[in-house]
Amino acid sequence: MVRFASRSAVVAIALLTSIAGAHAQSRDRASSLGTATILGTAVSYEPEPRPVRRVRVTCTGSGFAATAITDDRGRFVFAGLKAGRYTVTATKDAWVTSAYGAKRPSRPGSAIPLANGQTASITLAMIRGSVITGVLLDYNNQPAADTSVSALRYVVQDGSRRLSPVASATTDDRGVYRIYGLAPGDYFVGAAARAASLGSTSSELRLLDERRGTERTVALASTYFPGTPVATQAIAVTLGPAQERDGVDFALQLVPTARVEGSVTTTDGSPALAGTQVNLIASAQTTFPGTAFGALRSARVSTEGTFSFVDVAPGTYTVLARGGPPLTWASAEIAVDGENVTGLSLGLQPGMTLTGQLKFDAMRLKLPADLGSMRVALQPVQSQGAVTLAPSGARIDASGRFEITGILPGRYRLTASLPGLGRPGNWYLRSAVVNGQDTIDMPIEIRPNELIRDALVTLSDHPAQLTGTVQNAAGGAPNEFTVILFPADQALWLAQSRRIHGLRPSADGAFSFSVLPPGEYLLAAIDDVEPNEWFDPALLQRLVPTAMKVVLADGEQKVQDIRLGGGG
Amino acid sequence: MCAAASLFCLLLAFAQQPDEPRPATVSGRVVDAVSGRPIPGVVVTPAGAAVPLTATNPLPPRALTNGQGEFVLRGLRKGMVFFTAVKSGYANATYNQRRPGGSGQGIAIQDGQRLNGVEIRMWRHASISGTVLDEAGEPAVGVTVRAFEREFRAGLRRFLPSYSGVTDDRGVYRIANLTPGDYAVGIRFTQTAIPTEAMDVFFGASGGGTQEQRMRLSRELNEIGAPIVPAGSHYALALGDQTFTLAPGTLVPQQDSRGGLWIYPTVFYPAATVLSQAGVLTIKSGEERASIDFQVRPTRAVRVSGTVMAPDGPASNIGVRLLPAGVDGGVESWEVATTITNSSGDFTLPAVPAGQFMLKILQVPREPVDLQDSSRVMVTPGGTVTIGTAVAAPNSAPPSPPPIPMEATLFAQVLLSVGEAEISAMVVPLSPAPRITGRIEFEGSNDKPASFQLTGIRIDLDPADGSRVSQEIVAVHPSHPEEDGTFRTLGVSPGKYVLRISNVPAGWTLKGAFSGTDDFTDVPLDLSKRDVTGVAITFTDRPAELSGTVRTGQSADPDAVVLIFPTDSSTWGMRGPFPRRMRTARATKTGSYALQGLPPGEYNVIAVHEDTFADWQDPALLDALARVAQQIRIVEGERKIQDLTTAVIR
Repeated sequence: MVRFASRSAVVAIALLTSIAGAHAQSRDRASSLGTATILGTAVSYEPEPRPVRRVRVTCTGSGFAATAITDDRGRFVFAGLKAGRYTVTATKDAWVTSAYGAKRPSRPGSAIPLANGQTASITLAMIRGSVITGVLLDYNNQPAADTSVSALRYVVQDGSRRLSPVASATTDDRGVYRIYGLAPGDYFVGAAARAASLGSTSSELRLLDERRGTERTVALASTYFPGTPVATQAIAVTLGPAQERDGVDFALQLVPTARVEGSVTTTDGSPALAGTQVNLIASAQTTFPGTAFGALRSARVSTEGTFSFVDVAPGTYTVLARGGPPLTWASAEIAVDGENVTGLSLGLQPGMTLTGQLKFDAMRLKLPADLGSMRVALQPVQSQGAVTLAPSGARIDASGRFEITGILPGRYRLTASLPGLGRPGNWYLRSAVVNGQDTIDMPIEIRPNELIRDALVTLSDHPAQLTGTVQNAAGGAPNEFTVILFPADQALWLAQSRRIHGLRPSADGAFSFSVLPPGEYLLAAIDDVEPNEWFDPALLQRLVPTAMKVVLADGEQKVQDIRLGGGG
Repeated sequence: MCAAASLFCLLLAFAQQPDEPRPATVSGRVVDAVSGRPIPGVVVTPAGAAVPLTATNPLPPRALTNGQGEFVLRGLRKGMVFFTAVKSGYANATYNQRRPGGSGQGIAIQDGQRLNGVEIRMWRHASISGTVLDEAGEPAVGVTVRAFEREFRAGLRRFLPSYSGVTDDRGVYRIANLTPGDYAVGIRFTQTAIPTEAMDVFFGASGGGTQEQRMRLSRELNEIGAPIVPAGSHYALALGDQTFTLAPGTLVPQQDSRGGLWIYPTVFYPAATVLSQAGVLTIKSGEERASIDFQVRPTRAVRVSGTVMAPDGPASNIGVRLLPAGVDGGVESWEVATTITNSSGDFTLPAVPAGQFMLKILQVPREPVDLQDSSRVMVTPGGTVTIGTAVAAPNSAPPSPPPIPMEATLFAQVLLSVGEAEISAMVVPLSPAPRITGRIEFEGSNDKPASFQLTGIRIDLDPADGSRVSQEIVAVHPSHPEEDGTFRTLGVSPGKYVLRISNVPAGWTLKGAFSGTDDFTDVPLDLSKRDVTGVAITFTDRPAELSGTVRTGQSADPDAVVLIFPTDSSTWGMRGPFPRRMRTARATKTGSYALQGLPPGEYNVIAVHEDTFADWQDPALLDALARVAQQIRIVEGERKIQDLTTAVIR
């Protein structure tokens, strides 16, 4: 038995993931030699505000990023700032992260414009996080200990609305869980049945029926409050500010499991080599949010070319066999509902290949001396499965040619990696064209037996930029709006598109979108919007009538103001 | 019953192959050992020769107990079966266990047998809970509170890390899953600062470093448990040219008006700074011990800095650790502060509290980073996973473990007394760390193992005093022999060690690791100054064996445990955490027992009931046992039979 967990790379990975947004906020020590200052106080958001101590406050902007800690009176200071625009956010364990100028908790703040020598005094109002607590039981109404319970919210991800964990807690030996630090809002609560870890096998679990003396194979299902394994039947828990909601009790459900069996043959029809790998990949809908590592199971085919998975819970799955090297593959989509699935026949066929050329469109940067550290890769666009398989990235030869082998059918974006890529003042990936289609904007479908030649990846050092200010009819600068930039072509209204952006203007109404590819855009301002809601085509459709058209040429630095109530 | 369905029975009989054994069935119940009540929801897993496994079904079917605690397992065959019962909230249990964590028994199964009424007892876990508040009485949120169980190791009382709990928004923690025993409870606070130039490789304005630089640095940062976070985020603070990390669960330090840092030092309940001074909580089975509360207070910290010099110049990007000086009572010392050196070999620990410390550095030669390996698994923030499509040929041999590099491991250990004043300009020279080299030998007529079996043999160096400190601290890395039968270990921090050999090839038993007449799997090896060469790790196909039957009165005693330990009490300690001459064997259902591979020598042997004592490696208990034990002599290759009568210990 493992008695304690040693430190591991998990810490680093988890933090690296959670601070992905901070990645672009590179710290520049030289730039912090200015004369402006931000003085602030963090206070509790309540009728009689109190100072909040030991808050981690960050100040970012104008190539500068720093952290301060509030003292016992809630005070903090950022001194020596150069003239520019700065965003201030505050966080403390069990409190809701808040940004200066945000309309509501968890919403983006607005930047503070600072002139040389200026001192801005600000107050950051913070709310204590809300709490969901309850008891998790097992199917026998006994405490379910050591089980992860998550507070979940719907997010738009890869173009579809999915539940995503916001915070989680582990039940103690009494089955008690307590999820804290939650912003006000609606949450779904779910308990993840302990899934097999990535690639591991599982065995049948048999339960003896007390009355009939018969046995059935079962598994504990991931269950949502008030007690359903089906996410769409979950009931939301509504939290107000700093509210503690107790009694959110529910019981894990038991579901029937089944076997999935079949055989794998090679390209000439003979049984696949013993040891050929077969994966069972649960669909995203079948996988509890945030537990993708448990969505993949592995087996090896026997000397007769057969394979078997037991203990398969109800849901939809992809069975994928992989032979080689070089890679051969076969797959089948199946639905499991307590009945054994047998007789699957998978015939291996060759993996696909893509070749292409890398090109630099340089106006001011020198070409990288060594292309050896660059990679071109096919990035799978998530669709059904919680686990996706991607071919290895390809190195680029001295002439810029590359070849990607071992491709499975699916939807992909072609991407390139280079240190600093996409940051202001650096190279950016302008296009990655496959079969005449820019895959960065619109993923391509790679089909079985397809051979793709002449892909073209272009890196440029002169992205377009759009800046401006939001002004009201009286000439004021209303910063409570969010400015949305999106492509005029509705076909490009896809999740996480590089052409769709939303941001809060600074306190003086100024906004700036940098590192943009050329094209026709629409620009609009909206009163209140959830972060990333701007990827929702329905919202963009509503904005079209009031949006103004902006055409950006390659490398153009355009200024376009927004006048509210009057047009541009 | 068969008469009513005679045709069915006939068909079944025909369907059965004449030489195919009839499957056996075992059924039973899992109960609470104290209340005797049935426990539903227990997963019972069988193992052993009685469980038929195939390539496509490599794991045995398991049973889930129903509302009456009942289970049934079918499809077994002739052989021994061992059951493991697992349920959260209870200690894992096996059949015929007499105390939580104690030894269990297998059951002999015959073909076609229907064995009913197997009862497995389980003991409820205990818990420790309390509240952690800071100096202002505010809850300390997200802080890990760990229990340490006190055990005898190599003849000394030591604390082993056990389970932990994390404080919630009220500062409340609860450590569950505890078995009965003596515990200390503590909260670790390690101050970690990384040179900002190193963080710039990940987050630098000019695009950071290359993939290779990132992977190499990630490896070093992982070794010292440092998160990768940029200053200017919520997870790190810029302190001069250092990035002071504020990982989740860190209590945020306070900066005073002079720029000084007040940090929270490690604390053990009720208010000790080292484990050896911690209060000891004796926890009973199923007990819920509450109100083990902490109030943590910050203390002023000072800056400690210097340069690490390897024989060929400054040592860049290697881990520097500051640990409590001397023995703190635990097998894992918690670092007070950690960092890595910058590209010039300089290090800075910006926040060190006052105290006596040991500065430890260990530079282990490393394999080049594998750039191909980096892109095989990718987790996106949305929680999806992408893995590589690349496949290995199905019939390819498993990869050999990487060879131990020829380059020397370098180390430094410097005692450091920290007061109120800053310490700067330390120069810390690195010296080569001693290692062991030798060969593998086989004595006997059995076929010599294949080369892949040879390279699979694992060689560990365990500190003789039982302080099996984690690899990050003393780098007691396992080694593997080369295909030509030679082996070398990595260099280790100076000290006394015993060799531990595992993954022994089938058909062979460890005889010892010899240099002259000394066996370094038993006698401590002094690795204080220089390398030890010419050690022969020897395996035999004629191991000594001790067996017999335990009786109580006139009948066999299936509940007995046989203990064997040297007659020479001076060898009861300093033989590492797993002394080869101190072993136990649980009697079978017929009272028989067997112990294999004992080194030759004089031993005490005794049969007892293990629920009558707690920790049998306690020298005081061994002393009492020795007075009533039988003395025997084991000769090399001997197959000795020794029947025993269960002794009563009071």
